[in-house]
Order: sequence, then structure tokens, then C-alpha cells
Amino acid sequence: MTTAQIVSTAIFVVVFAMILLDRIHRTIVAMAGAAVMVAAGMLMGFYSQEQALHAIDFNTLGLLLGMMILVRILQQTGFFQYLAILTAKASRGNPWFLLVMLGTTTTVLSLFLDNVTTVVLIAPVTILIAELLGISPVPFLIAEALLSDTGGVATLVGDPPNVIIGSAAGFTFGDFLTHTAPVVLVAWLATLLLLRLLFRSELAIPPRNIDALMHLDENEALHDRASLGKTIIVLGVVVLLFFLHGQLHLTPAYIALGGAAAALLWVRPDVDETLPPVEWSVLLFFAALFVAVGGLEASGVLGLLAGGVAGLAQANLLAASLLVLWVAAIASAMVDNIPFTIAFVPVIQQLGHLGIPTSPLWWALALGAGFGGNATPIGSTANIIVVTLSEKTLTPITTRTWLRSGVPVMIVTCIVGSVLFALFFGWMNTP
Amino acid sequence: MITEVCVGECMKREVVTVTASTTVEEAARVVVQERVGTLPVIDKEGVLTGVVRLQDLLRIFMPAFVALLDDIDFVHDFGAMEEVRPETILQAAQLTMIDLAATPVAVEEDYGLMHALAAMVKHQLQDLPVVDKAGRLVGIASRVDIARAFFAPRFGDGLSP
Repeated sequence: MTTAQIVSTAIFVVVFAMILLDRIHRTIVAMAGAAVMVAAGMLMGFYSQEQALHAIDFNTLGLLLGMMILVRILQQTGFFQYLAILTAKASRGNPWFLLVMLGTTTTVLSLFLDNVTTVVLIAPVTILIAELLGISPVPFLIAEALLSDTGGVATLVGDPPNVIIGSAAGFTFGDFLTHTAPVVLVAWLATLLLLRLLFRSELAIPPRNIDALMHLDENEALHDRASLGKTIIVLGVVVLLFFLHGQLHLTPAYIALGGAAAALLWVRPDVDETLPPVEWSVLLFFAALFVAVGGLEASGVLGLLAGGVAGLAQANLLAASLLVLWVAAIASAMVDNIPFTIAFVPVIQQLGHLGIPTSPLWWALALGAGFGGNATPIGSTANIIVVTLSEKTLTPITTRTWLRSGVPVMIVTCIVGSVLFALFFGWMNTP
Repeated sequence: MITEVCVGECMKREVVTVTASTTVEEAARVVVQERVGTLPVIDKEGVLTGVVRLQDLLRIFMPAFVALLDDIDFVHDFGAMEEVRPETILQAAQLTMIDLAATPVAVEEDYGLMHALAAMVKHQLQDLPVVDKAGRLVGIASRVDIARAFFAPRFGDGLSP
């Protein structure tokens, strides 16, 4: 290894360790890491400011920003509360049906919207419903996070690792629907049955007051029907364009940002209320990580890493893909799956430069990063949010409680993923 | 020019106080028996270290969704939350005033009424503790105490303290 490679690796390892330790906010860590990486790169001549700018994947950032703005406009109409109440009432207070209804609602929303936002908006209503019924919200909150994390792997826009992978690999919305979605459907159903088994004693406790749930009027939770109608139409067009973006040669970022522009123009919300809650710190975190990983790539470290695994990939692509799936899953359980994905993407790109077919490796990364995040409370941002919200109730979710359901779910979904991946390997080997 | 009185002239000097180790149950009894809504927390030297309001005591028993949802107007039937829940009583039993007390906002005796009013409005206080230079609690002025002194020079004698 050259000195540049050692220095860039050291910077990156420190950044990753500090994100893992979580003592300083991860956005601050990533921004400082990016600044140090560029400084080291300029001093030692392995990384320039221009290269750093090019390392940022603006397609990922644009897609996330556009969807964040659309969700924010939708949130202001009270739509998420409306939907949660409507579906919860359909359960008629039966805890198992309630878990299925709320879990399905959260999953369906998170197929098209960022699942972090979905969970942020559905979880408080879930706590409301559990409190009115007089039952513990814990199984429902954990189910929503696990099911939406699992479900999000099905689509290009379902979770941030897919956005990053789709952008880097050039996969379309349709590619995800034909590759990850069928695997996710099986894994999602397995998760649901597993949750029923794991929470069987909690779900057997009968609610003390079902009338209160049935007395909730979902229509009263809607603040602004006119804006809701407009936003739903815009979102419908955006989703339709996602389906067609490959044929139309439109980037997902353009569709999302164009949709955000259309919704802002049509709905005309108060900009000072709509734009500040967009998760700017998340976008900055992504951009800074792209810059830091760009330095690692420029110094040739990721090429070395790719060279190391190239032998296995050339000898047995299926084994290499399954290795990627499980390594991604275990790494995503320990750190948020986003930094891992950003760091791993250039490794697969390097393998592509060596002439190795990368499609199965991309799909394995998507499945592993998505399913692995389920294991621990810190594995995905949705998990962190659910745990934080539960701490405001009388039944906080402890790490132990989470692991009791998260680890079995991660293992089962990864096994389902691996088996289906191996069975349909020929198909996974196409984009 | 009419000069206003200062806070020291309209405050009450008899103050019902609690200490950091006062339990929620004891504090609840003080509130009900003394009919006060604000409990200044003082240490051994009489220095004001915090303030607990009645709503801080009540909040322990409130459902979590009240704090988590922006809008609760659509919830008409509170269902199981209307019951006396043993788990909230257990939760309250684990707390003392040190867990509930907010950093105190206080004024000194020689502060003007406008200054005191501004502090009350800005921090949405019902009662304003008054301290000496050493931070020791010397009195408390309610909103009505201050309003009475404030309106007197403006609307006439019937309002004089």
C-alpha cells in the first residue's frame, strides 16, 4: 500500500468508527471527515477538489430531496393520520389484525415514500391507538419498522440504499420491481408470520376499550382536502413516471424534483413551513460521505479491495454474491446501512472495470443492506425513530426487546433472500 | 410622570416551597391543600434551584400521544386513558421534584413591573418567584398580584393593592 492509501484508509476508518460510536452527530463527523479527506488528498496529490465534487451523487441527493418535499406537503394535509386511523378501524380492535393493518399501511407507503418519514408519521398515531385500546404499543411499533424496512427493499425509491445502488448501477424502477420485489414479497410475508409468533403473548391480551378506536373519525384528522387531492395527483404522476423513467430517459432525481416543483406551484404551501423540516442534515451526511469515500477510491484503496475479492467473483459469482449479501447484512446491523452502501458501491464498480458481471452483486447488496438493518435498534433510521418515540411512553423498547424480534427477522429474511437468490441466479445475473 | 411600584411591593412573602427530594405524592398534597399552582424548589440555604408547576405533576399521568401528535382535536373518546392506570402511579412513585423541576425564571425585588410582566409573558408563567442578590427565595408574585399593581395607576383606585 502507498502512503496515500494508508492515510485515506485511516481517515475513513476514523470516520466510520465515530459514526458507529455515535458520540458526535454523524453529519458533523461526515463533514469533518470529508474536509480532512480533501485536504489530505490535495497535500499528497491523490484527490482534488474537483474530484471531490464529482464524487457526490447528485442523482441520489436530488431524488431524496424531491421526495422529502413531496412528503412534507402531504404530511401537512393530515393524510398519514387519516390513513392510519382508517386502516386501524378496519381491525375492529383485534390486536393481530391491527398489527397486520398498520404494518401493511406503513409498508405500502414506504414502497414509494421514504420509510423514515412514513414511520415518523405513523408511529405517533400507533401510540394513540394502543393507548385508547389500553394495550402496549411495542409490538406494533417494532412491526411497523421491521415491515417497512423489509418492504422498502422492493423499490428504487423504497429506501436510501436502493436509491444509491440504482443510481450507481443504472437500474430503473422497473428493474427493482422485477428483481428485488418478488424476493421482498416472500421475505415480508415471512416477517409478518414471524412477528405473530414472536409477539403471540402480547397480541393475546384483549384491548380494554375498543369503542374509543371506533369513535375516532379519520375525516376529522384531515386538515386540507383540497391540498391532499392535488398532492395525491402529483404523487401519482411521479410514481407513474418512475415506472417509465427508463424508457423516457428521465433520471429519478429529475422526476422527484420536478414533482416537488409541480406540487409547490399547485398547492402553494407556506415555503417557510414546508422547506425547513426537510432533513437537510441527512442530505449533508450523504454528500459528505460521498466525498470521503471518493478519496478512498481516488487513492486506489477500493481498487485493492476489489482486486482482493475479484478472484472469488471470477471463480464463483454466486458464492461472491451471497457473501456480499451476508456481509452487507451483518455490517448494516452494526452501522446504519447507508454509510455501508456508499462505501461498498465503488468496490462493485471497480469489479465491473475488471470485467466481472456486477448485476448479481448489486442485487445482493440491496437485499443484504435492506434486510440487515432489521437486526438492531440502530440498524436503520426507522428503528432509531421508533425506539426514541417509545421512550416517551410507559413501555420503552429496550435493546433486548428489539433484538428478540429483530435478529430472528434479519436471519429469516436473509435466508429467504439467499435461497431465492440462488434459485433464480440466472435472472439476478441480468439487470 | 407616574412611577410604577416594583415587584417587591406587590409580591407575597409567605411562599409554599418544596425540596429536591419531595415526592410527587407529597407535592400533589401541597398543591391541593395550599391551593397553589407553582412550587418553588429550594435548597438548605433557601436558594431557589428550580420550579415545578402543577401541569408538570399532571403530565406524568397524561397519555404519551398528547405530546407526540401535533393535533389531538380529532380524539373525542380517550378510551382506556380515562381509567386510573396503576402503571402511571408506579411511574410517579419513582420521581421526585429533582426530576420534574425546570430551571427557574426569577426576578429580584427591585425589578419594575414591566420587567416582571415581560418575564411572565415570555416564559408563560402563572407565578413569578422573587429572589435576593444571593438567589435566596424571598417571595412570589402571581399574575393577578402583578396585574393589580399594573392596572392601579392606569384604571384607578379600586384596583390599588
